[in-house]
Amino acid sequence: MLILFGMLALWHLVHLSGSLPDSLLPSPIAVGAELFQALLTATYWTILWETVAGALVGLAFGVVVGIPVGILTGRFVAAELSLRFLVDFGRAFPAIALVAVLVLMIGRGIELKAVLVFVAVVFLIILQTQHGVRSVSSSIVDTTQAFQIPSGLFVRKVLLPSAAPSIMAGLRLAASVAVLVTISVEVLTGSPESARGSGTLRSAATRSSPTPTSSLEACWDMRST
Amino acid sequence: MTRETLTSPVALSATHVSKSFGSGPDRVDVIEDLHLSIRSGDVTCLVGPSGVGKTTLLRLLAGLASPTSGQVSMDGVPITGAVEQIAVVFQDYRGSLMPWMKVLQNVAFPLEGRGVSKSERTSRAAEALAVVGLSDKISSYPWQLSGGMQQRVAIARALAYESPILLMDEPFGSLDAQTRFELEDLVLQLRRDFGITIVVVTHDIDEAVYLGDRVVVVGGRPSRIVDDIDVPLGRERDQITTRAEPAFIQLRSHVLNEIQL
Repeated sequence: MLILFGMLALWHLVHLSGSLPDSLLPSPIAVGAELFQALLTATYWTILWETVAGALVGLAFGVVVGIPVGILTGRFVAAELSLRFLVDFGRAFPAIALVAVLVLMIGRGIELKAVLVFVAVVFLIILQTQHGVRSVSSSIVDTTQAFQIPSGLFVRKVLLPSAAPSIMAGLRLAASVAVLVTISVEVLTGSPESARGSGTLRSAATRSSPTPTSSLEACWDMRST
Repeated sequence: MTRETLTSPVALSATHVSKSFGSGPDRVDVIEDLHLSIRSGDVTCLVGPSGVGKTTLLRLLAGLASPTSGQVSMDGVPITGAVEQIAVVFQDYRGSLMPWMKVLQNVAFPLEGRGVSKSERTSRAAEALAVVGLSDKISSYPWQLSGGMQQRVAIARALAYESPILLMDEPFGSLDAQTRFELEDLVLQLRRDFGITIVVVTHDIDEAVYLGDRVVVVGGRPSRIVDDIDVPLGRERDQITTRAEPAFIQLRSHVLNEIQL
């Protein structure tokens, strides 16, 4: 908290010193006022929602695919071996590098964000789930075997709860990656467009799709008005 | 509690059983050509030094591992995997109870796999917990209980499963002497009250002699049966008087001697 106030004070001092032009570094008070005004407009929230929705849809698909694949590869060596190359390749692959190709294939709407978020998070979720599943103690596996626990029940009541801490850690990481990727996509695909249009007052409502809308763009618009 | 009874006088038998791990030059023979018949209604103690393959033998009897050659059969029928008629209590009670389930759920869980209705699961689990003296702990988590209580929960879980055969792998190895005595008496009580056939694997000679109607000494590498002794102590045992009986002391020295060979 103290650090935050310190930073704001420093910012204000630099602004007051006038060493940087106003258009490059407005005062924190002006920025705060602008933010407050933005919070009252529907446009701001619409645009913010578009960002969040992109991240959420991608994350949801990541969970739906990642957890079952993680369980499968965590339990069966054959499944792990056959997917290992894909997973190792996938987790090291920078999803953002696909932007250019995917823009041509599916445009710049929410689909693009969702697909890229999915690519960015799914391997992370697979690996974390796999790790969690593997760390189930051998005594528990022995016990469930001795008492002939059917595999459906085993996955639901033993494997998932046991792997939950690891899966949750994966989801936490995945959530931040999702937001990061969405914003990056918006910057890469949206920003040039709005830069060209800066100086003109535009609202998201009047834009024709598939022109991308993004929270970053919104900030740009607000600033330029 | 209703419990299936065994029809044959021999509950479990191992014939020409061998077990080895690995292959080629790394091959380790753990058990070689072992014969063993567990009589119904007996407490049979398998005793031997650490690392002699007692746990492997128990896993074979439980159907959790399959023999490299030979056959394990129950009630005359060959066993190829885990069966309903055999319940197991493992050494590692801390690891074998699910930490995310309360005591009652832990005990009832195996019954869920058998498709027993929820109300019956709960009542059977509560009944089993009452037998082991843990009625007041049913809504605790296992990690809130002491080691002895956790092992009681594991015993209750096996009991609720209502199998005629109970296999125990070093069940009291990591408990203090006092708790061990209490749990040994609990095992004898289960045999007396429910007529369960019990096999206990242990490295503790005193425990084997105190609990067993029969003590089977396992030794050698690969393992074989060194001796098979009927314990002449009667079925009623008492921690103080039984352990002081000349027959007890003599038998314990006899077994110790064999294990040290």
